[in-house]
Amino acid sequence: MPEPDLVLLRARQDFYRYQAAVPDDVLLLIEVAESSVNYDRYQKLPRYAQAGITEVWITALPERIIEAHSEPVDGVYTRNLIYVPGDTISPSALPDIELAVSDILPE
Amino acid sequence: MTTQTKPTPPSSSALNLPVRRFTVAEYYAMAEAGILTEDDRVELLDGVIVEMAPVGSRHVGCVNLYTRWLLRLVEDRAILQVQGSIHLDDDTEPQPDLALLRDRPDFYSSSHAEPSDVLLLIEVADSSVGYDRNEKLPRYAQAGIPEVWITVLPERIIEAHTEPMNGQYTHRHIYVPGDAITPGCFPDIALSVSEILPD
Repeated sequence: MPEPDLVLLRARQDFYRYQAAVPDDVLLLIEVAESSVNYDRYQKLPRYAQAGITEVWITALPERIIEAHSEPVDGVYTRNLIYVPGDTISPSALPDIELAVSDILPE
Repeated sequence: MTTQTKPTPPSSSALNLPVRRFTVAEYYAMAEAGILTEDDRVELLDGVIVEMAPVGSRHVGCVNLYTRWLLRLVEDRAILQVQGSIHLDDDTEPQPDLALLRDRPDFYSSSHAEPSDVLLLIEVADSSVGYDRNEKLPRYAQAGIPEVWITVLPERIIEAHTEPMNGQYTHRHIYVPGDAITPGCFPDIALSVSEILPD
């Protein structure tokens, strides 16, 4: 049972008091990586894909990028995009919200 | 900082032998070397690496509720840090469940929060209430953290500890469902205890 840095979960009346979130509840999962970027990319990401987590953002601090991985098929994310400062990024589950990469990864 | 007697450090009940204590710098070197990973749930208390109890869904749900209400009520007036570290001194860096921190332009990305940055600390305790009360609370008082709430899930109460003096909180108030609780740092906001601790 991994402990990602942040998760956006489907709204549920009990705020997940009665049962822990399962992959189906996860709208977006975010990892923030400083030295752990390879661990996140190669150990954790395939497990998230296998579980069918719809979207994962790996925030690589040293490179100042956000990698957005989505559309998991057979344990692999088939859509992989890189966002850099200046871009805006929207979770596919909540297309109406936008985050500025430079707000998340300031200089 | 003045030298004062520290509270008794956490110890292993099996062995009453001296332990090699680590500094915060050594603790981070272990993470850098991969000995500790970001998925290890540990905190440093008086140089001892303490494994935190795995949290159950009741605990997670309560943290989720606090997050919802505090973000809504406090908005941009402070930074809400969830399960992040607070640098108390060179060998103590606990990870409280929630912390309301003074607004800082870097969002604490250049260094961890220190006691003077902390407006309010919140711990959520299921089976860990003894650890929170006896091990962590005195350290928070020692560091001069102005206010700590210990949320006791089995008893459905929030204990608010304030006015630290000589390593002890001199004021304690117990809040039960039906009450509203207001942090000293934001007298204009009130959280409903029954929202945080529903039936």
